[in-house]
Amino acid sequence: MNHDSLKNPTAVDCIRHHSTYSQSDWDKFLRLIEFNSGTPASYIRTGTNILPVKNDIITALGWQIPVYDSTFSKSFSDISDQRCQQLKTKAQGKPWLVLWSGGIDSTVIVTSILKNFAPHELSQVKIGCNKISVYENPHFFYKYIKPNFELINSANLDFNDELFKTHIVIDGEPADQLFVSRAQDYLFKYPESMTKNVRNEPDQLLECLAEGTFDSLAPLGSKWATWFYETMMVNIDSVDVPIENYHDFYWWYMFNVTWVGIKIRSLSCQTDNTQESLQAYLDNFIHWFDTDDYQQWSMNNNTIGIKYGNNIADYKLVAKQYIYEFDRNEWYFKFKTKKNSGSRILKHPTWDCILDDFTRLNWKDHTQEILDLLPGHLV
Amino acid sequence: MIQNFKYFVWGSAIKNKPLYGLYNQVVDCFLLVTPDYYAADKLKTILSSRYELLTVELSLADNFALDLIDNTVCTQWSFKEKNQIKIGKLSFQSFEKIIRPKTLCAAQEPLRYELEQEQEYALMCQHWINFINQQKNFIDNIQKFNEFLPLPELGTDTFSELSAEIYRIMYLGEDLEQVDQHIATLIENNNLLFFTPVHLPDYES
Repeated sequence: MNHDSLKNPTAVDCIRHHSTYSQSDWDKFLRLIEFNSGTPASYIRTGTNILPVKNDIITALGWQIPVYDSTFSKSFSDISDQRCQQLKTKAQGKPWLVLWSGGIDSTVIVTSILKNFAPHELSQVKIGCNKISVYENPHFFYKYIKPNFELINSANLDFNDELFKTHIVIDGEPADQLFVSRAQDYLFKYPESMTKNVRNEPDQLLECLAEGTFDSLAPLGSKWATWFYETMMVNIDSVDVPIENYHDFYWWYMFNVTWVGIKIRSLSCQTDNTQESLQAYLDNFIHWFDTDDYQQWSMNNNTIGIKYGNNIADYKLVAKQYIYEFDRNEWYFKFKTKKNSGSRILKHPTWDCILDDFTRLNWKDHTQEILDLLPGHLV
Repeated sequence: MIQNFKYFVWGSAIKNKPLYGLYNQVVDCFLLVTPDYYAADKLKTILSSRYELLTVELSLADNFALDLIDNTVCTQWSFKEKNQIKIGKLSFQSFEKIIRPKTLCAAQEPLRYELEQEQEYALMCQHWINFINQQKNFIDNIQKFNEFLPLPELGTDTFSELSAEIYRIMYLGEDLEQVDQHIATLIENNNLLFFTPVHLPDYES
């Protein structure tokens, strides 16, 4: 379910009528959607399901968080190199179309390719980018991308059946969910607070949550902040993944709750809407960072100096180090900060609900059908 | 010392004119100051290949004074409202073209990175931006004649092509000496007529 669709007045009426959730809880859930603007859906991947929607999609599609392994010791660098080898095997000779935004995540991908492909193999890879991608990392573009790869304008790329028949498409999701991106607002304002204990000293966290984010239309308020904090803590206390401080709290929200939304949001770029089209998307649109190894790494490395630091330029530090070891671009390493860069324009999804058999429904044409299904989607 | 650099300019404030500082969040200080808004804006774009800079109108601060900040001390200064700036979440999204500070304050020392080389590069870029700006009006007037007196045997380069090439060199450049020499050679080999300015720009006097 595209959870933005739940704001539709007829959906809200249905929810009010059928759900065990109170109206005020639904108001809070809708504010959650606002807090998390940019992804179409929120689902709990592990631990107590604290959201008012069922999360059958997780087990149906195998999108759970892997069981936490505290002995996991692979480095980010090794995982990134190995990822390249894995995808070579998976692609079975199909050309790659790598969506490069100029940001840190997709630059990691291209770096891995340049490190792990023989020169004669680079012709198998095309780079989808646009002008803004170049402006974000021009040195990398002119030194490494332009001389080595065929370029495709990604600005309005259509993820149609033909594209997936002929390529595997690779993007840099869900890297933000491995590293945390919501915290960047907080990090910018109160960097010294990121390591405050989330259970014993939540006061400043609550203040920040109440302010909302830069995406919020208005402050979210202290009542919402308290609800969100207490609700998330129920889930946090039900898992054995170490979550100790403010950074970890934000990270866990991104990693556990928003992961699925990110995986499916590029469906908005798909014009073919058949059941087969959705299967083709799932089979051939590869999110580089969506692996068990990256997720284990993420759970085991919520540490200053690896994922973040006291300066905004320390965000995704280990990923920047991986790039720097290859391109020696000191400016990108020292000064690059997090921006919501995109290799393509994401549109509002044309679907509001996807059925088990991958049929897509929308409010305009299938209002009653969706309303009939909605109670079954709610907890 | 930065004032020994061949393209050094003080960038000092002029009475009744705004003074702008180019601020970087990562090092939390001003890389350069200038009363020339056009130059500041152009520099932001050129230096964006290295880092993001924000234009701060220093002269609006309550504690601003004419002799407070110049390019010998700008890296020692920051401003108190820096954490309240709504920084664009999207690449190249800017909410405020010019930041309006209330209070200037000392930058935290030591700086996260030594900036003298970056300042020198920025000053060099400023020099060539000013060169292009000075020449532009003169050359535009000359080139009006091209419509009816093309004279290709006396050269076909256009100033817009030359200035675009100069900006590109600075944008993608890494080594200051190489970039400076490249631009100087480009201008020398060009067929355009340039004039030698009689007066230096205001801010250098």
